[in-house]
Amino acid sequence: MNGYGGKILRVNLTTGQITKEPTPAHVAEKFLGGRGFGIYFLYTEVPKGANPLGPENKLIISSGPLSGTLTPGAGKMDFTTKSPLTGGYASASVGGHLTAELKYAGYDSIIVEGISPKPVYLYINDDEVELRDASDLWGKGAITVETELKKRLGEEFQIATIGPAGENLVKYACISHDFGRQAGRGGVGTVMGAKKLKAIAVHGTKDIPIADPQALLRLGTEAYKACKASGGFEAWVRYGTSGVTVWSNEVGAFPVRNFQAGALEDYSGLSGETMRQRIVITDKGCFGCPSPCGKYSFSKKYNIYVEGPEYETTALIGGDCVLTDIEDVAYANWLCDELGIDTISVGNVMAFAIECFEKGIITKEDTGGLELRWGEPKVVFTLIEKIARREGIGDLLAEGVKYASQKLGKGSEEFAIHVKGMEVSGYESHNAPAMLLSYMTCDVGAHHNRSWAITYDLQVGRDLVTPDKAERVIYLQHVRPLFDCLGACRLQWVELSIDLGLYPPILKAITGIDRSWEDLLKISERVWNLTRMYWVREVEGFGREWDYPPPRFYKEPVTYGPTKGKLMSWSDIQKLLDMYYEKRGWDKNGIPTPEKLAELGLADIVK
Amino acid sequence: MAKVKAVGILSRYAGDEMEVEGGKSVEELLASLGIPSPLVGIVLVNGRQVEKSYVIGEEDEVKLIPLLGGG
Amino acid sequence: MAVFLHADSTKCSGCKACLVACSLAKFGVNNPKKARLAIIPKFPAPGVFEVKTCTNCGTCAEVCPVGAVKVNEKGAYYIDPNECIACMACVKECPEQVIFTHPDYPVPFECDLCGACVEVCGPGVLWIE
Repeated sequence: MNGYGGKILRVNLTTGQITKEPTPAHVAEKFLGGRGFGIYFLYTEVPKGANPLGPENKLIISSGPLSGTLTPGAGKMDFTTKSPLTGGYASASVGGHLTAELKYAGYDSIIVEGISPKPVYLYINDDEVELRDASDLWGKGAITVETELKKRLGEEFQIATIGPAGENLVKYACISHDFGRQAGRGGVGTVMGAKKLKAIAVHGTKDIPIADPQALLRLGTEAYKACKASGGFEAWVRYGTSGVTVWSNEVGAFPVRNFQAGALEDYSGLSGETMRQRIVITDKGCFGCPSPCGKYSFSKKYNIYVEGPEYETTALIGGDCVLTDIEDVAYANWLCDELGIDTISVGNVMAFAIECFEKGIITKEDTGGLELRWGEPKVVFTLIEKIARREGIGDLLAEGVKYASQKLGKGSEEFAIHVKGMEVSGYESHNAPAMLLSYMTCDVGAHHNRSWAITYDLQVGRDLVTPDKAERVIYLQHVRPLFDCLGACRLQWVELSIDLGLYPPILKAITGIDRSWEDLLKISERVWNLTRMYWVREVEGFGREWDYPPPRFYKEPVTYGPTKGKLMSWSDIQKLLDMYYEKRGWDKNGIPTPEKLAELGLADIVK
Repeated sequence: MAKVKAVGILSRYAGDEMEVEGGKSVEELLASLGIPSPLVGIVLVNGRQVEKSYVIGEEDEVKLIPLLGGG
Repeated sequence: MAVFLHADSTKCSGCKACLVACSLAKFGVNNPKKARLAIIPKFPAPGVFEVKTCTNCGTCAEVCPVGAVKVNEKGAYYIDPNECIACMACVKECPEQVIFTHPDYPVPFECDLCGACVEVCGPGVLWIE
């Protein structure tokens, strides 16, 4: 099958059985790959009501048809599973070189099942696949393990691994790869930890079958040239995502003090230029990327090498916990990377804890004497360690803000900043209805990757609550995650504005199948609706109220920044949902109608 | 004279390239061109990012880059 | 001084687009494991990429026992697969270690200055002069 590795690798950790199945053509046709494969296998194979940390849950790791080919940014791998953080659908994506390598070994997906009786790692060297003992790696940090496995197996092996946080079942543990890239959100690393799977090592030497190699060389080269010719190229390569920090503060989108404020009083210590001058040593790209957002850094103050911090980490640790020195953020970033913890969720959780302390809901007795204060690097570093190891207060905080606030009570639910149990990422949205709607309706919980609509709010007016905003969010929710089906990065389109029209001909050269953007968007809409139906199936009583934002956004006005005094109204939130559901063809409770499911060809899957 | 380049959708307001006199801040420049400031994501002066309060010098090369996508 | 493929390693971000373009241009396949230049990542420390390219030094031609290493119209040495006896002397002696092999092919291969890699490199690491 052109464009695909051709096989699915199924690994049962309980029995140790490893099987190779042909990649089903009808699934490739309807779901493309990547997150499309993820939700298809999750929905059809993981039984209803499975415990996310039990043997019935599966970790589905998938590349896409563009992965590993001559296409700008074709280096994205999807990890799908039932989320231990939210109890619903989780899909997290990682860049680096894993997805390409897996395809060179001849596989499109790895489906990990069961629970191993002892720590193991999965070794894949082309056709040779085996589970190997990982007892000596258990307990070690992600960067340490990646270094060690490359030493043992060879530099050419690509490694994905968890750190101690995953082993300790911290609910937002990540999967780390390529010394600083993570499948970060939703607890995909927690599932790996529960399965006692410490790492995956992949090496492949095969060709990816290509329908028309000459056309791919020509069209791929054109797309690379278009990236380089983009007016945004220079700034994007110099700063990566950290170029956004100054703007985010200028427009009041920077989360500060647990999303109470929209800007820092002084953000100069966190700006992209400060970071570039103080710590960045190398631009580090994922597979096939002409415009590397990865900024590899060295901190003299802490004597550590770390990739980043990228914008989200700077926002949630630098802004939300008020660490205003980039080197302090870099060290917190390194700790999270080594321990294997999602920087977005942990930053949000720590800000929540500090606010609880401020309000007397958590006291020194709970923290082992540690005073939780804004702007204290030592507090942040200590909390990260405690959470990763589930020590003291860390044991509660390791569950995420939703659970922690329910446990603590005393009004803390009002400032637990999450949707569906996933902590909100780096955009303050008191005065950005389209962005808030993006968070409310994102299919993994409050994450910005599916739709990032705050610039649309700024463009058309940030007080407006109009149908076009719902339309915009839906459009973005189809285009952006489509890249996660294709196994490629969206940032060449998002940041360099290269023409979306470049992709269908490339995909055709690779697969031999002619598809228009409209065809591809239909696939993305199919995937979106199936992820929604997964929530409906797994969460009792799932519906409209699961899409509500954190109360802070409609009860407490912004305390500082350009949007000071602003907040959403409750009626506008209802209005946004009404408009959104209607345009999606869902009922008033936010459930896809049978007609919609039939239209998308999902009727036989969702019975 | 300082050179100003506007990238992507911002060229609608300023053309691809124009010359302006120094002495004004970037914020003032944007206002005079009618460019909504929040749409300008990154301002580069001589290849380095500056804040919008930066006062443009006579020899500067200013590049205005819109923010479209984010992370 | 002979024309050759230059590389400024300090600009490389390790994306390997050059390697894929190379395999497509020379073998008509999408496989960076069949490329004629190499990127060696050095992580976590010192955190740099080293790019290895053919400097057209001619050692391969000197050590070839059967005269299978020839010079093309661009002045680049290349291995004629019809004459190569796969003794691997050139692979061993290449000072830059940029003569490559792959299990799919009986004989080694090296850069012939086609330039496909240069065109796709984002950060401008590669050039021919």
